[in-house]
Amino acid sequence: MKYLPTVRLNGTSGWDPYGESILSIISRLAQKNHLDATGIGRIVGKRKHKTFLTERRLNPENVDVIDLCKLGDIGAWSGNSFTASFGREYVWPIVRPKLSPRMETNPRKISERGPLMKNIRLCHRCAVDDVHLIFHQLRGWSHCPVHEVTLSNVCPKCFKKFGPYTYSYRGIIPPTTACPHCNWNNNIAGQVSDSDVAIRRKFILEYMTWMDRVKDVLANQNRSVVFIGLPDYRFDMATVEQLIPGPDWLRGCLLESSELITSSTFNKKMGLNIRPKLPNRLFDKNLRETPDYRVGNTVAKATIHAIRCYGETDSYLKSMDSGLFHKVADRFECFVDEVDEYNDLITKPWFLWRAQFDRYFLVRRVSKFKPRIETIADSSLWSYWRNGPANVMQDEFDRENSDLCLWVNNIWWRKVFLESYYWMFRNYLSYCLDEEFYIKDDIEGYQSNLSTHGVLDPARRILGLLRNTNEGAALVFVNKKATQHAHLLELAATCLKIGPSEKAILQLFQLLQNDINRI
Amino acid sequence: MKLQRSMRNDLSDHPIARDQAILPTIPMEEFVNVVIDWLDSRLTGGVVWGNQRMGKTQAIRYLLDHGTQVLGAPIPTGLFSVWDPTYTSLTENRFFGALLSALNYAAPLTGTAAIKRQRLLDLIAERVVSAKEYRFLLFIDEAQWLDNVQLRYLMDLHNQLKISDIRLVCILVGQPELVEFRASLRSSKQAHLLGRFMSASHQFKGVTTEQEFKRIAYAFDEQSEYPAGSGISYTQAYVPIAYQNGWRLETNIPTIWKLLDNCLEAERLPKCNEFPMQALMALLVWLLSQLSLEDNESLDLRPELIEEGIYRRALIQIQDQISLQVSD
Repeated sequence: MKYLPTVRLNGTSGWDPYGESILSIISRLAQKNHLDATGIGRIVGKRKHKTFLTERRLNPENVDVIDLCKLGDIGAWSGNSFTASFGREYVWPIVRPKLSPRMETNPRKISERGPLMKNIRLCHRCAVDDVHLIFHQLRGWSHCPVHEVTLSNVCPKCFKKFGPYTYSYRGIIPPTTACPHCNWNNNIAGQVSDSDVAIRRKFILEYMTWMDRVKDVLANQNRSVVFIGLPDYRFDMATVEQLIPGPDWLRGCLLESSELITSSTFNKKMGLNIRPKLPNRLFDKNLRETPDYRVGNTVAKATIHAIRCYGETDSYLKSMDSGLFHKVADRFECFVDEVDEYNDLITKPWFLWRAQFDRYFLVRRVSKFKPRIETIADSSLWSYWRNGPANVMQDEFDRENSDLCLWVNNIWWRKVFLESYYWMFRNYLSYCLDEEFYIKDDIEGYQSNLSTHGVLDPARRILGLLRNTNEGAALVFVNKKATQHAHLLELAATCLKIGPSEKAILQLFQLLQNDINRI
Repeated sequence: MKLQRSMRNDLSDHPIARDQAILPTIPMEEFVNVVIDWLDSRLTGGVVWGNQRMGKTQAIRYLLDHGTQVLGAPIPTGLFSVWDPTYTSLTENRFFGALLSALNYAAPLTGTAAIKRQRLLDLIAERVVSAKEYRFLLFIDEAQWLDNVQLRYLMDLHNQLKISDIRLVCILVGQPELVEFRASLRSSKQAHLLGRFMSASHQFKGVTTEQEFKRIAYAFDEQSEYPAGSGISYTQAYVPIAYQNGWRLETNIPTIWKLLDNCLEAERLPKCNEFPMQALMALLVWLLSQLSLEDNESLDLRPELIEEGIYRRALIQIQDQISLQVSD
């Protein structure tokens, strides 16, 4: 046997980098080997990029900087280990997105990052093992796919945002999983467990395979699914499921729903009829990007942008900041079939179509949860459907479709599509769990209240009071006029979600129940 | 004749033609046993010395290749070759850089001496931890050139690793000057170095008896194989027809041994106590390559051919060895 040396860097043995962001890989190698930006650049950089020390920040998504073959040799990793390390792998290369006027005037605004967040976002459990997945950076994700915990871009110690997702322009590449402001680092240098790596590998491989399938469909290579077409086309779930739920995306997306299920079960045991939490803010641009707010905000956006509306009017277009979201949503309008009566669409809430849910994906746009009934009749597409092609100019229809194709932005497509499914499924579950409540109560009134009255802050105040006084329960006096039955329960549910102890919440629930009975 | 020529072409890639063959010999077995003994005795270092061309480096390579099987544990190993110490080549930076390079680190030349030292400690620690061991076996070849300063660098590594519960075992392998070096350290009472790296010693000898020479030939006949898994021994590869008819190199060793003595007498040289391994290997390979030209069922190794081989391939190295023997 010949003695063949294998050239390695420190820290590479027993490390499977699959799915980790390339910034994390480079940063960890630099840290473990005491290499600065030039040192690591000389080892893994391409010929013209022998350093990561540049005047401008270097984008980790720039593949031309790193010699991936060399990087693979150093860690004895296979060639495809890094395919899942770049955000560009998760972008849909269908058509070039049409740029908004603002972007066209300022080319620097065009992000090369694909669907990535600007600042580093971490899963606190992955950070213990010094792991930062590219999934943590992807927009539209709120949870870590491995540990199923909420991602955060805020340091838990100093509450400032983590550094940008770029190579530093300074000499030293800082660790990805550390705070650049206060040096917070929760890395205890542990080895990533095999089970975590297995989950990650399985998830990412399935996800990418699924994405490839969707890409084929969008590139019209798979003719079994047609997005925009005549109403005669049928889109049964057996086919659409290839696109919509994704491999484990559903699992990730439904994390909050599963929490809701637990909550509802708990509520039923308590004899309460608690409505699950719904997003309490809509279109709030100034919403702080805290984990608590982000989930609700994302869902709200997805609701507005993705839910199908039959027919678009100029007024609606003007009411949006940009027509982009709206047009993207329009791309997926034709999942409706077997709607017998026009009135059904108008009068029945969408969740009453649950009978079809198993087979059909029914999508409607709602503005602040209220269907825009008056615009439906104006839709050219709707007219086409109802009255046949004679009443619609054929070229107009074609132009619409071609525009839509152009407007399919890679980033927003994924966000809109998947999150709309999330929203729908979540509400479907809620409906199944709390059917009685939904039918009896005035949901529109509740929702309009919810959109104007946030419950998170009062809930925090209550819990802060409980913590400060070491009490197990709080007696909450409410204004009868201003607060609805459902709003109170929402407050209790929120307290349960963020509260410190179950016992405290049980007592709070009891008090609230009494209060509600008085109301 | 055509067949033989084609066979010769095939044999150009043979390990013994390319001087890559490592055959188990008695001195090698002794060396391995000594290393195992030292590890079991929890020694942190020892000296293995012997004359040049005796097969010391080959023995180290054998241990590196078969470490886990031979030592009975997956102890991570490394081979570091010392260079001639001069004023400019004894810097800490050069030492740690060379050691990193010897341990196959990807960036041995980047950074300052302090950084390289830290990388080296990390490297050794990582390999030991990943092997679930607590020892790192470092062979230092040409150790007679080691300088006191370099030994102190090693001592520093040894101490730092000990803090992490890792034992660095250094086997210093070199020529007889190594014994003098050890004596000089002893005379200067540098016990901290002696205790760490030179607490035991072993002489690596060449071929001293006919029996040992027979052991090598036996390895050629029976204990070797190329290509891997083919079942073809080295002797069989060179003289397949004769081998099939029972011809073995081992049976000709008494004749070769006798003729070696005769040649030395004819050259008026004293008797050689310790034949260099490399000389005998060269002789056997030359004989086999000559025999491959006349391979037949009744192959006979003629004394004239052996004498020619001794004069052409072995005598110069044996003369060198004898001259050292006389000077001792």
